[in-house]
Amino acid sequence: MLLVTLAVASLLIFLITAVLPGNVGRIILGPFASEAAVESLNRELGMEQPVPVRYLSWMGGVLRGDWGQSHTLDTAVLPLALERLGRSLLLAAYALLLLVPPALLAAVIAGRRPDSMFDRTVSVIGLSLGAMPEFVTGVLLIMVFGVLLGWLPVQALPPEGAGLLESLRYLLMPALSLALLLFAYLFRMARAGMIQELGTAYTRTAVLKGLPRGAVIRRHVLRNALLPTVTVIGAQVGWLVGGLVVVETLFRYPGIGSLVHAAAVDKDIPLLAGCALLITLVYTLANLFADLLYAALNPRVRHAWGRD
Amino acid sequence: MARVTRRFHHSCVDRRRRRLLQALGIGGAAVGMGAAGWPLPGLAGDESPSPGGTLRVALPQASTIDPLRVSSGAGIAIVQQVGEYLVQADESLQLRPMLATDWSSEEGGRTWLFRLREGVRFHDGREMTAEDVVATFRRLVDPDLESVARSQLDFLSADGVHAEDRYRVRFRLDRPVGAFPYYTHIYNAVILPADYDGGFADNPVGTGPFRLTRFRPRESAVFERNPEYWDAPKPHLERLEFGLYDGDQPQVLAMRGGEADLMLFVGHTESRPLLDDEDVRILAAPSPQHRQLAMRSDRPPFEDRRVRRAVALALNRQSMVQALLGGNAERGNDHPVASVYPEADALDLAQREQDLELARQLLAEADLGNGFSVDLHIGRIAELPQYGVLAQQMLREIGIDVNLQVEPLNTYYEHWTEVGFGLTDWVGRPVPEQILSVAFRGDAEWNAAHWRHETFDTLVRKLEAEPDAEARARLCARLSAILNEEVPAAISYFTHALRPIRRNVRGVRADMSNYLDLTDAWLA
Repeated sequence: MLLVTLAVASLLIFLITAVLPGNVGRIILGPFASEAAVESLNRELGMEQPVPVRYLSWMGGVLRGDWGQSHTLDTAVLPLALERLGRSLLLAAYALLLLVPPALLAAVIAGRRPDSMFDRTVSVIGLSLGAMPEFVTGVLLIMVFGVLLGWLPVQALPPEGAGLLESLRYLLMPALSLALLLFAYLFRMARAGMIQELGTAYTRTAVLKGLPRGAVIRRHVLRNALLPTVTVIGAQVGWLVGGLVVVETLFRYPGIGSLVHAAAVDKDIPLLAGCALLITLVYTLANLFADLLYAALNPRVRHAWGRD
Repeated sequence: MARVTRRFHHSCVDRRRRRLLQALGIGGAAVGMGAAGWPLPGLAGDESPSPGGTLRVALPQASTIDPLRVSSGAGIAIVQQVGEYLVQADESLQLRPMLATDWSSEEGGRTWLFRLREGVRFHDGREMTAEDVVATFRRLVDPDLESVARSQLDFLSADGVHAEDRYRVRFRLDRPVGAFPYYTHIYNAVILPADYDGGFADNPVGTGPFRLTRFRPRESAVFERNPEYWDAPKPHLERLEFGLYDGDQPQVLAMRGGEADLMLFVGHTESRPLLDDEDVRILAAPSPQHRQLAMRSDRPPFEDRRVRRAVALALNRQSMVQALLGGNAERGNDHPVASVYPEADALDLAQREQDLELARQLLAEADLGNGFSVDLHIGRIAELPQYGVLAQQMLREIGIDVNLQVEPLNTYYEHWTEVGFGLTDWVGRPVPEQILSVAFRGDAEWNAAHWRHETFDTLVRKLEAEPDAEARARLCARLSAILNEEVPAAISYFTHALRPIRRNVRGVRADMSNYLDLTDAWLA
C-alpha cells in the first residue's frame, strides 16, 4: 500500500513539475545570458526530452539510489534533501513536544468543567493565538525574546558542533510559534472529545460503580476522547515537516520546506521531485503511525483487523 | 532621504559628508569623489586597522556559485572573496590595478595588452600566469559552455586571447572596444586556474583575499583569511561567515538581533526597521541601476513615439522617488546614462517633468485622445509592483487604462522581451555603452521595446570603439538626447545602493553594483 502511494505520488509530482512555468535554462543562467547559452543548457539538462522519458530516467535513478544533481545548487539531491529533512523532523518533533502535552492536559481540565473560568480563558487565548499567522507570532517572539530581552538567539540554526540542548535552545522560538499556532486546534478537538465522552452512559456507569474520577478519565474516557485528536496530529505532521516555509524563512532554519519552495521557484526539477518524494514518504508514514496508534487506542478497530 | 539623513547625524563625519553630497548634488559628488578620495569609514587617520576577528554577513539566497554561471547577488559576493579580476572599478568608476598592473591599447582599441602582477599565487600554491588568464577568458566566450558572460563579450572570440609571455596577455578583439578594461571586471571574469573544471563549490581556487573553506547550498559559506595574499598585510579579517537568508526580513531581524554585522544590500522599504537602530548605519552609493518601462515601438499603441512620450510626461518622477524609495534615488531622464558615469558630465538635457496637458495633447495628435487600455507586465521584485500601481494612477490622468500583470520574476523573464508594455529592473554596468548597446541597439537581444534607430546604432558602435574620454562624453550626450526624444523606455530614476553595517565595521563601502570587497574590512 505504502509503495503504491509513493509510486502514484512520484508520478503526480513529476507531472506537476513538468507544467511549472518558466524556462529552466533561463532561470539558471539569469535574464542576461544569451539565448544560445540557455538553449544549450536546456539540451544538456535533457529538458527537450518528452516528460515520460524524463520521468522514467528519474525514477530509475531514484530506485538505484541516484537522485540526481540539483540544477541550481552545485550539489547532489539526496544528501542535501536528507540533511534538510532531518532538521525538519527535529523541529516538528520539538513543536509536537511543546504542543501535545499542554494542549491535552488543558483539554482534560477544561473538558471536565466546560464553561468554567479556566475553560473560557484557555479557549479565548488559544483561539486568538491560533488566529495569528506564524509570521506574526514569530516576529513578536523574535522582537521580545531575541531583540529586546536578548534571551534567545534570533536565528534557529545552531552553530557547528552544538549539542542537543544548545540546539533545542536555538529551536525554542520557531517550535513555540508552531505550537502556539496549533494549540487552539488540538485543544478544541480534545476538549470536545472529553465533553462528549464524559456525557456517555459508560462513563456514568464507571462513576456510579464507584471508580475514582482520575481512574475513570485515565482508563475509560481519555482513550475514546483522544481518538479524533490522534488523527488530527497525524495529519499535521506532514505540514510540520514539509510545509514550514514561513517559519523556516523567518528564523533562518534551513529545513526541507524552504528547500522545496526554492526548488519550485527555480524550477529545479530533480531537487523538487526528490524533496517532494521524501515529504510524501514522511506524510505516509505519519498517517500509518497515527492509524496504528488509533488501533491501539480503539479495540473496535483492532478487533476488526483481527477478523480479516 | 530625510530618515536616512537623520541616521547619518549620529556621527559628525557622516554629517559633513552628507552635507557635501547634498550641496554638490549627490551624483556629481560621487564623480568628484574619486579626486577628493573619500576616506573609507574608519580609515580617517585616527584609527589603524586591527587584524583578526570574524565578520558575519547576511545575504539573500544564492543559487549556483560556479563563476561561469553565477548571476545571483549573493553568489557573486561569494565568488568575489575567492577570485579576483584583472582590474577593479572604484566608486568613482576609475580603474584600479588588481591582477593586472597596467594595460594599454593598440590599433585604436582593437588590441589590448595586459601586464600581470608577478608572484600572485592561487590558493593551491601555484603561481598565476598568463596561461590562466587566457584560459579564463576563453572559457567565458566558449560557445560550448553555458557562460553568462558571453553575451556581454560578443566582441571576443576564443582564439583572440593569447599569452605573449609568462606575464603578458594580448586580447585581439573582433572590433575596437574603447572601454575594454572595464569588461574584464564583469562579475563572471574572476581569474581561475587554467585547469578549472567547473566544480567551484567542491574545489574553490582563486587568488582572492579569502579561501572558501565550507559551502552549504542555500545555507552558508565560511571563509578563512588567505595568509599568502599578494597585497599583504591585507586582508585584516581572520574569518568570514556568510549566512544566506530567504528574503530581506530575516536579514533585517538578524541585523537587529546582533547576529549579523553587515547586510550585502537592502531595499529602501525593508531598511526602515534599521533606521532607528543605534548600532546600525546604512551606507549609500549612487548607482546606474534603474527600471525601464519599455514600450513595444513596433506595434500599437506605442509604435507612435508621441504616445511613448506622453507616457513619460505623465510620470511624476519626484513623487515616485519619494514614495517608492524614500528619496534614495535620483530622477532619471528616460536614458540610462546616470550621473555617476564620468561620461554624463557633457549632458545638457532638461529634466523631463510631469506635464499632463502636453501628454494629453500628444495623445490627441496620435488619434488616441479618448485613451486606451493596455496590460503592464511586472516581475515581483523590490519596489516594482508599487511602481506599477503609481504608474497606473498617473497614466489614468491622461486616459490610459493600465491593467497590472504582476508576475513571479521567473515568469516575467520568460517573456519580458515579448510583452507590449513591461517594467524591468536593470543592474548597473560600469560603462554606459553596455546598457545602451544591450537594451537599445536595433539588433540587441534585450531590446524589449523592439525599437530601431539607425543613427543611434551607429553612434553606439562609435561609443563602444572610442577610448577618448571627451569624445565618449559627447557621444553619450547625443545618444541620451535620442533616447529622451524617442522614449523606447521611460527611465524614472536611478536607485542608490544601500548597505547596512554595524557601527564597529570599518573599511567597507556601499557599492553601486553591490559588489562586496572585504579586503580592507576590519572590526573596531
